[in-house]
Amino acid sequence: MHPDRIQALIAQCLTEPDDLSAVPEQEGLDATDLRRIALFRGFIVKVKHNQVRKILPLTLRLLPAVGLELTFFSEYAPAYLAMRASGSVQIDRQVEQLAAKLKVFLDQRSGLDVDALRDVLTHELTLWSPKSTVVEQGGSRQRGHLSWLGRLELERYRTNVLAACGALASRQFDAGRHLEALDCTLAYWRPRDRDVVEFFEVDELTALLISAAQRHHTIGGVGRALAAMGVTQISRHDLDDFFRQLAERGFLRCA
Amino acid sequence: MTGALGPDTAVGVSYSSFAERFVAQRPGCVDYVEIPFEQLVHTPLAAALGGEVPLLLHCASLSLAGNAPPSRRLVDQLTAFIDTTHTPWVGEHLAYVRADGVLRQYAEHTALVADDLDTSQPFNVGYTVSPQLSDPILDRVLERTLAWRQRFAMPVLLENGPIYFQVPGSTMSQFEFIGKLCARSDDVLLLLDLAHLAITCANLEVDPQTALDRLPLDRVVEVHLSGVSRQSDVTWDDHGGAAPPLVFSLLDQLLGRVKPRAITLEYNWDHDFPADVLERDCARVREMIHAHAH
Repeated sequence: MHPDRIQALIAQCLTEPDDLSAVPEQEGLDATDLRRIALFRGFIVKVKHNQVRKILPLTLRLLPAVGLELTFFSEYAPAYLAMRASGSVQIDRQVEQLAAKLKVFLDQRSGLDVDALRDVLTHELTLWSPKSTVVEQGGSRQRGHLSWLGRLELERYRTNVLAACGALASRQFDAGRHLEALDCTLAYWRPRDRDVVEFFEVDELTALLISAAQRHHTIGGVGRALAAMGVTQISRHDLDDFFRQLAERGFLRCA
Repeated sequence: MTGALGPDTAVGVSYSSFAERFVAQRPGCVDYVEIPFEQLVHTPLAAALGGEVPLLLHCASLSLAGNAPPSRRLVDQLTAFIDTTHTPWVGEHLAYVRADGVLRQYAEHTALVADDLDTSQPFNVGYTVSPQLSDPILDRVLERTLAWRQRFAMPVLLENGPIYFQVPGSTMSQFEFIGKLCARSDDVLLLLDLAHLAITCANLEVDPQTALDRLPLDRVVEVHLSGVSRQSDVTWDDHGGAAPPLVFSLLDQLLGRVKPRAITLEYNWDHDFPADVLERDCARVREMIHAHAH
């Protein structure tokens, strides 16, 4: 086997998004070699994403912990190499493409580990993405009008995302202990005058009220929306009290 | 070759934004920072760290085992950074990065650089790949290594790469290959990456202690330590984790035989690497150096 021929063939397998199965057997590479070359291609792409660890550190720690890292990066390699072909890539674009491809990859699979990966990815993307999209609604003097003082987002999860993230952050993650099916909702708050994102768990009713307030903008509108949904056990007094508490915590102004 | 590192075995860390913070926050913990040439090309200001701590230059672009030489521009940049950093040597991989598919084995170019080489052309892997371990590649690596040594007027250390699969046409192990290189010239010096050694041995089912003993350890100038990981039935390089017990065991075995000039902890893939772990492992390496010095 001429060294330049085989080295070029391997380099081609690593750099071109062609199917490795197209490599003829007479080149001396058997199925095991080709599988390892495909994984190596994924490994190289993974290393090229080290800077993304600044934005998605926990997602990129969870991927190897559940054994999906090189499989994903190997599948992602063609799209990444195509993106790189046009020159160096800004980190924001790198994160966006990686996240989009990882979501597709996860949607093709099932299991608690897959759900946890999707949740941790969503959590980190939500922490990262609001930085450029603070929404500030115009004020109004209409009685009961709700003016948000920043951006509040809700994300629903199927696993105990906070437990997984805590263990990953402290590098103590153990899939057996920290992967847990759990329906929960987190609220992400980015105040308009500070470059921080706070997040906290909310119950279903709180999530419902916040969602309604984001759509209807007045306490009266929220009350009517709840009634239309058949939620009648919450009085106007309860709503006033709820939104007064949000106002006291600095989330909104209530006219 | 001693330079700014002093006569004793120095302990350093690979460059990363984390390493920059570490050097600033924990002065004296490391004796030097090893910085990749490719990092300096991307962010030349990183060389300013040389004002705080000595720098060693590491390179992954010469493609010693490949048939596509580096561009003149790349070599000019490397030469400039050799001057800027005052590095006592350049570490380079026993690997190829580029391959153009043209069969030039027996029409070896005599020039070390290509004037108009477009490195964006296929097949530039952008990462070091362990080569075919054969006599023709051995001849090429030896010729290139000695030529670069002469051009840079300093040692070019050869680093053993991790082997994940066997390249068809290989006629010897990596350990035999390195042994033959050293036997052919006294000017071949080594950067022994003990994590790579452990990875190669795991993937090829070879005993790492025996493999280490087969290497010409008297040529080892610098040592690399880093983490390893296991995925999909293959053992992989992992600079995001700390060196495992096996790698420290190999270091202990090595230090029982020779005294390298420098030992670098390559903990540089995770910008949030725990500083306490790096500090702990630096102290551990220093204790091992001290224990073998007495």
